Amino acid sequence: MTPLGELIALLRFEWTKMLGRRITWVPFLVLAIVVTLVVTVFHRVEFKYQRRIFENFQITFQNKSDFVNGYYMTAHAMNPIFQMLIPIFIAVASGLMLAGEAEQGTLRACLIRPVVRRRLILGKFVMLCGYALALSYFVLTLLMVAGILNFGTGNLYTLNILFNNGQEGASVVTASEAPLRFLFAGLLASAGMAVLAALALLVSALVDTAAMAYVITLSVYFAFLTLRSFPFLEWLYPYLFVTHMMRWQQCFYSNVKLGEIYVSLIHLGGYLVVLLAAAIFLFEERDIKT
Amino acid sequence: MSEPLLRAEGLTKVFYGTRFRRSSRGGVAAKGMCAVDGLNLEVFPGDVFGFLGPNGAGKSTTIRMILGLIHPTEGRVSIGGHDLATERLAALRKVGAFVEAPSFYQYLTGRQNLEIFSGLSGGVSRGEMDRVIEKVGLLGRENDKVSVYSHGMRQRLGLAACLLPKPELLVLDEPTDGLDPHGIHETRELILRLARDEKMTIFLSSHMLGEVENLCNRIAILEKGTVILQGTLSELEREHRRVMVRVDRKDEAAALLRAAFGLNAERIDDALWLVPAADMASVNAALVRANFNVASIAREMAWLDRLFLEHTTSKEPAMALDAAGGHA
Repeated sequence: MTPLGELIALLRFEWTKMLGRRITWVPFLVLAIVVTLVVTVFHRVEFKYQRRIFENFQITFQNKSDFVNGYYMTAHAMNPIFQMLIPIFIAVASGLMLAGEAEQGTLRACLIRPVVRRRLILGKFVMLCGYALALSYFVLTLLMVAGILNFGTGNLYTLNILFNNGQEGASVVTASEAPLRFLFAGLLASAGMAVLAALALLVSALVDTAAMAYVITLSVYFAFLTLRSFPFLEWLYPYLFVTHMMRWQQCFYSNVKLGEIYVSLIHLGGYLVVLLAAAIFLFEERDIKT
Repeated sequence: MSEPLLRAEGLTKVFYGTRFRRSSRGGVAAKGMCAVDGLNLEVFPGDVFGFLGPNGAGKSTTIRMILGLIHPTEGRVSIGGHDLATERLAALRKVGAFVEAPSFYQYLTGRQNLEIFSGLSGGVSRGEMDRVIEKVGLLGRENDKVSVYSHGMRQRLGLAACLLPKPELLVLDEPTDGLDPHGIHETRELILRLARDEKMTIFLSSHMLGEVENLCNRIAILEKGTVILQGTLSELEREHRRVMVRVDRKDEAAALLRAAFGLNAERIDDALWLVPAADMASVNAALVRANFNVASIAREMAWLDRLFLEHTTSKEPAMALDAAGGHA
């Protein structure tokens, strides 16, 4: 079998396993519940506080419906979902894929077959990227559809402080441009999740249990996220992978700074190559004792 | 003799833990635990090779090194002439194996599991898969999820996975472990059929010495990471299996047998034990001719058990027995 043929076969097997594993579908269910909660909250809250903040920046809204629309709901719901929930789901999925299989003994059963170890890990990584993409666009689509059905469309107003803009005030994206911005935000967020998946595979290559793998991965991720929240550590931000993982927030600025997005993509690419190469190296050298 | 299908030369594995010791040069070096020490093995085509050893002797580590799961610290393994370190894929293409308990994706069906594992070896036709499913007795249950399989069915599925695609060398680690007597019998029959009808070479690790005696033509006994005894079962039997004679005037009988056959006769309790095993009819005839009363004459039953116990030490804590032989 050619290397490409083997990789395709591995992807097919990973696909079969992923579809068959019940826990694969849990995040989709959780995200659907979260979207329902978000819609309920957006119906009930008057957004007076937000209106006052907007007024501070000379943007006056008479009613909630002047700025709360489907796009507003989607963009603001993305922040916690893409910073907290999806990273947890990706870390758990990655942990189950490698350390979980080591724990169950199925990794051992695979590795006594004539399969190249690095292709096995690459197959898992590609499948995790696909999973991250599927989760990202699933929640984005659900948020957009639910948001538009409940609150309609309109210009997207975002408070800069919530989206790490570094400037005061608010950003406005026209209604016609908003869907495209969400499309790119989803892609950028998925690229960030790919780095997290590579980190999780690296951790999985070192430990023998799924729980250990995702606890360590999430600890590293949240530790970096905590560092990212201290303003006096601003000099450190460019070196933290979480800074670049959150670059999707730029898609909701009035003026997208493409240069910063390119720099972040290069950083993410660098992190990805280093983490994946380390994961492959360690996995190749690892003794399978479980 | 033909080239060995499996050859291990100087196989050594040292596990380095987190405990450290001061090295001879004054520095600090990782403290290693030698699990396998310069092990040499040869398994020839057509062999059913029994691999024996007490717990902790290094059997599992050896099997894992043979299958490329653990990297040897020193030494090399070759399968079908392919060095495992440099031609891993070519070497493993010749092998079907399960190590310890066979592991499966519980949430997939038996057939899906077989598709995945055989697919990693290049894949097999549906007909071939059906043939193996039937052979291991899982026909009709192959589309059930593995989570509902009994232990015996999982062992059978493990065997099926080993047989797809058809390997030249089958490595089985405790294949009857946890099976009921029916399961044990069926698995043994299957192993015999594979060896006899399909000319498969089998490397069998087992604690059940009777099973090894029934199935294997060659064995190796491992102790503290080293092979202490290796050979064909018939050679070992000839050298080590004893004949027990119950006869009157034991000391005189022992002297007679030593003079007539060159046998070493040891007196234990009320019997004489003869090593090496002699032709029982000749021994009987000689004793009767010399007017000894022979009450019984028989081959030693559990000779392999005795050989194993004499040559190995258990790492398990010994059970305390009271004077009557019961558990204290």
